[in-house]
Amino acid sequence: MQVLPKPETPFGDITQFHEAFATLYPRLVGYGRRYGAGYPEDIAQEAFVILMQREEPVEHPTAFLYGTVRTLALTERRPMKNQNLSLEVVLEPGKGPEAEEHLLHREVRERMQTLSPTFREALWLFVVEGLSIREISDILEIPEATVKTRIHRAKAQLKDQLNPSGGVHVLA
Amino acid sequence: MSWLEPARIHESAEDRDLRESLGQLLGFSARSFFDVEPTSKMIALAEDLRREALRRRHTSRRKPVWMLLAAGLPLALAVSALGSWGFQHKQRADALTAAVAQKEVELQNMVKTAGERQVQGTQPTLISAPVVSAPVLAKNTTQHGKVKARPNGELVLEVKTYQSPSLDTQPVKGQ
Repeated sequence: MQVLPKPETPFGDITQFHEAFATLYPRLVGYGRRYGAGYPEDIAQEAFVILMQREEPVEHPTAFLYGTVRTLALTERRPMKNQNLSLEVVLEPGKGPEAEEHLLHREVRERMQTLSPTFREALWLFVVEGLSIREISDILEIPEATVKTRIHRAKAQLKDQLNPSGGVHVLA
Repeated sequence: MSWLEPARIHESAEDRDLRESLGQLLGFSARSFFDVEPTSKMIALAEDLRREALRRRHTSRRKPVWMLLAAGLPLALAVSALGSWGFQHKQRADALTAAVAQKEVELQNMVKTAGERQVQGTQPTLISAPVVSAPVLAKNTTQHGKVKARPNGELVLEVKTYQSPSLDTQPVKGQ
């Protein structure tokens, strides 16, 4: 039986790690900011360092990063070891998380705000962040079936908003 | 993107359709977030973080097993010593209890055999006691009381009833 060599990073080789970092970092910063983190850049960087520091392989690195950012942001713990690695100077204008959120229509944001926070969280991760059901279940630490239920209920609420007079309910 | 995870690559068509329909409901144009070309600054930051992770991995080494064993050795020795001490005391107490029980049994046996010997020692004297004949008995008892002998040899002792004078009469005042 052939033993596969251990990849250099959780995302593969160095080039793949750079691509993953460039994609995920701004999104993680935005995700941390959504949780009211005062230093979302530091939290996102700390999440990457924690992931890379692990010797045991992580099954879903993206979910691990999102979950770590969520935990760090919720506990309001500011990582003190990485203060010199802030991305404030690295982010280019127009590519920051705020700019990305501005890409969403105001109507979309308003519609999502009307949803309950539980459903909004799952819907945001599924649609806007583009994560899979399994990854969301890892991040929120809930079963996949619960994630699906929340997304379907969010969809039903959105449909009710668009068609308040009635219509066929998605879960009916 | 080559780094994408299997969880997202192998996403079911149902989930993709659901995401698309939700995007339409929200008026959100689903675009690929995973096609970002890394800039040189982003690559530099990624390398910084990777080095930091490696540095932490090397500095925060796990303690070797022998150190953990050495730390736990005194405790293990103390526990084993206490255990053996307790075991020895328990064995000694069990032996003492057994000896006391045996002594009690021996004492009971001794008491029993002594009692049997005493009974056996008194029985021959009773058996060998001489039968006193009626004339001899009559002769011996004439000094103390009247003894009548019946023809068949039976002895008849005269019984004197004792009467207490104080119980017969009781003086009553005023009569």
